[in-house]
Amino acid sequence: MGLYLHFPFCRKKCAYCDFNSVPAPDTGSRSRYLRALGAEIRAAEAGLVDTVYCGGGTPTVHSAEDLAGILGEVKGRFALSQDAEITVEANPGTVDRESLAALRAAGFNRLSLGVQSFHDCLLVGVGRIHSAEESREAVTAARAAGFTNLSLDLILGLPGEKEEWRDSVAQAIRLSPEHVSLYPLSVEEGTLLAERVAADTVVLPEDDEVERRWRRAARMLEEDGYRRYEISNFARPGFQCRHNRRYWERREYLGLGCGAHSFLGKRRFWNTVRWDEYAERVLSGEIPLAGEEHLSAEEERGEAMILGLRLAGGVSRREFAACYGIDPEEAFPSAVERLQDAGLLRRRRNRLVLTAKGRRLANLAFAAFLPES
Amino acid sequence: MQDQVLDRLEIERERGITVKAQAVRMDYTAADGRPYVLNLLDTPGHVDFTYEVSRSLAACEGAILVVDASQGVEAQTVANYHLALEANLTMIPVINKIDLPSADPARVTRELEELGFLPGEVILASAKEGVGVRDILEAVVGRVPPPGGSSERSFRALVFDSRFDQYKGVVPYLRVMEGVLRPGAKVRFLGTQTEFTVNEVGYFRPEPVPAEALQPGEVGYLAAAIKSVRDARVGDTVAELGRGAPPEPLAGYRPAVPMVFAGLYPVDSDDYGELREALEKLQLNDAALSFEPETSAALGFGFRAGFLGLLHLEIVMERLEREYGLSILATAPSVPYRVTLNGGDVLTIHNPVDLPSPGDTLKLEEPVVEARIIVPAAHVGPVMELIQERRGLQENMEYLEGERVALIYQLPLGEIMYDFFDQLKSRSRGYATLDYRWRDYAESDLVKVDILLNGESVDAFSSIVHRKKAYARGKAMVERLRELIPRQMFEIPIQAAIGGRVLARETVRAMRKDVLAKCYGGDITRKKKLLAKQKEGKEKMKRLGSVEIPRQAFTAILKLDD
Repeated sequence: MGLYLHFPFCRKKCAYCDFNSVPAPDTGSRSRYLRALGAEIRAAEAGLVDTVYCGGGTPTVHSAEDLAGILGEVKGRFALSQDAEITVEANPGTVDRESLAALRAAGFNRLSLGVQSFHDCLLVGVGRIHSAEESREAVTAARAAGFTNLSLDLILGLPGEKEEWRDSVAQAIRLSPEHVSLYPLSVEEGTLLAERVAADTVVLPEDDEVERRWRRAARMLEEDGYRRYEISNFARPGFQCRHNRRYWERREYLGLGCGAHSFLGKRRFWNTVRWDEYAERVLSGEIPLAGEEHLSAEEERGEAMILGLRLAGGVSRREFAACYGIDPEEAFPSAVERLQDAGLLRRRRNRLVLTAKGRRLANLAFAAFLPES
Repeated sequence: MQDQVLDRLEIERERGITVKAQAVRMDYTAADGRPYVLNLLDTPGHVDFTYEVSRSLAACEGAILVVDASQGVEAQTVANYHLALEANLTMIPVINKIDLPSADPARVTRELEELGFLPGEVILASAKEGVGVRDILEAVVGRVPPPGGSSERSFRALVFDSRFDQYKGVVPYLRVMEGVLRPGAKVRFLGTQTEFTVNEVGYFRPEPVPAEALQPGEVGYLAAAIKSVRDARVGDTVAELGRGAPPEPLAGYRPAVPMVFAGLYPVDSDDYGELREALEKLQLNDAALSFEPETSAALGFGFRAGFLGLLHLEIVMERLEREYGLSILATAPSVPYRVTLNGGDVLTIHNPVDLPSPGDTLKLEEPVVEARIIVPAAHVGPVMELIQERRGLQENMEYLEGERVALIYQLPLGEIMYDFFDQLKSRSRGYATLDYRWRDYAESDLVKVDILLNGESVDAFSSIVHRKKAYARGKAMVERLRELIPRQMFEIPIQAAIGGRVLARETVRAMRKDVLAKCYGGDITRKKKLLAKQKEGKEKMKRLGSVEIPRQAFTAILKLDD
């Protein structure tokens, strides 16, 4: 089983961010949240865990000691496998040599740094709290602390971006992380960025241009030995994110913390989104469940396609048939045919994979596997 | 009391227009101390309803010509003035809304003098403030002759409107010309040759109030469990049966002739049945609305409906959407074309796709109208230019009071269908007014312009235009479509063609990406919801072969600027 822990606080909310995150409240509230999270961990059903992912928000707005404490709770409740992948996300502006060393010592063995860009003016434009220099320092500090599995997030197409992306990617490659996530900026409803776009106060690069940049950036990574294993994710051999693969392979995970999502059996369920309500409910002994979804056989198959096609290896027909009792081409005859005709999907040996065009139009391809409304 | 007492339809109140004629009977004690009964009809003014107006006028002895104190005499005013003149009515000119800051009664009085009124005749009024109302009523009593007609003779009445009532059936509105009508009488509609037994008669106050009898000169209604509005048509004569010689019909009756046609299609194909029911219900009150089933390769099952004009079409569309909650796609409005085939057969087509091939056609004719446009002299240049672009032939030009010009043109009706009003308004800074009346069919060099998407002709986009304008129309259509059709998985050529000859071509480039699909974290439920939403958006598109067109493209293409 995978375990996801949510840490909703950030020093400041970024303009493009539509995650469940809020500016960090006072120390008392922060520790109240961690108490609640600890309580939820202790109340969870025990089991064998081989990946742990601390995401946010910014987990590292909490002290390394606090995070170590949470990891201690996890180890107390769950049986962690020997080679468990234990990731913590960090904002480069919230870590230093000392805190990283403490995290490493506590057992975290994978660090995901939200670098986004190596150009300060672009970072400031979207409200990032850190500088490019701090990102470089964070990488050096992480290495010094003993992190041998390091991931950098990069965003292309930031407001005002011209040719800076190329240098950002080059700098990332020079720092030689094991893993890179490369995202084009997307404008999500309800964000500050969306407001600015609506008010015409930011200039975003053209979609087609961002797409071109993204493809060139991907090529730069691939030329340096990174392999794309998912639509937006690149890794050196052996360093794919095992936790995230669970999502795409429809393997079970338990999510703890406010707004965290879980997938167990045929059931998807999620916690109360607001951190204060979540803490209130957990600390008064309640289960902080906010909603759930029971999947029909048809929905399971659709999910398997939508998620599996994200991976470079696509969907194995044999594995699909073993799990769902039917060949994917029989389960979705018209979708498969239509997408193949349109050049979005192809058969590679015994697998169904998206073509390069299919990856660019992935949402269109995925939608074909949703049940007809 | 409500502000707009007689405009009952929501659409009338909202737009401040009259669509249905209304009647009201008033008791009035005049300054001379004598009691009078006044019957007032409120008529529509728009050109689409000219025939209805003419029937209402035929039911009256006099007319109050109401002119807006700031707008002044418009083309429509002149048209209705002429209708009243033809009906031999005593006219009382009234300038209303003199309370408006922009009111200019002196100017408007001079404009009325031009129509032949004397300065002393004109009454200044503000209905809102109650100013001049008594003067108007006194003028009605003093100037309009009382109705004639003997109560001894056999009953005859003019049907000037009708309405459908859930309980009483179709209720014709009558002006009694002679004789007396009582419940129990057997009557015949002379135009439609249908007979009924009257079970109620009454007046409008303005709500219908039953009465013992209707006397000569009175305005009222009869109820006789009439099922179809087509049995009691506007302009028909209703007469009592059984006494002496067969009754003579009153002059002026003609069935409504639709001059504008459009395909109406439900956005959701499951709503076809509901659309039919809604059209049938509207037809109960609107004999001028006609429709028959039609099938389009592009739009599926729908109806080809006929209307008196563009306003009528707009009103029907709006009522379908508003009162019946239907979402409707309409094709570009078209006029009827008369085709003489090689064999000599003549047919009238209502849908451009039905146009026979040029090889089979001997002669093509289109309807032309006599258009009257009144425009300030300062804007006459651009307006004349517009009319000439629209193939208008000038017949007359008069200089009017207040630096205005009246232009009389012969104009193909089809040219008015496309963005004519908007252009007229924009080229005259909103001052030009238009009215037109049916003239005749005239031979014309017409061609059918087809639109091809991905090599396939889309029937709903075909149009008939004059050969000289085919290129411009075709080019405008493909350019507009290129803007409206979103990029898809492959390149889509858009072509405008006459027969096999391509006039214009545009290309919708293939979609390159749809924002790299991300999926952070374990919230797969949300991801699925977003995909479903995106998919739903796509389902709002109409699939034509392999091409998807947003539904709004169909509507937008109608608003084509030439």
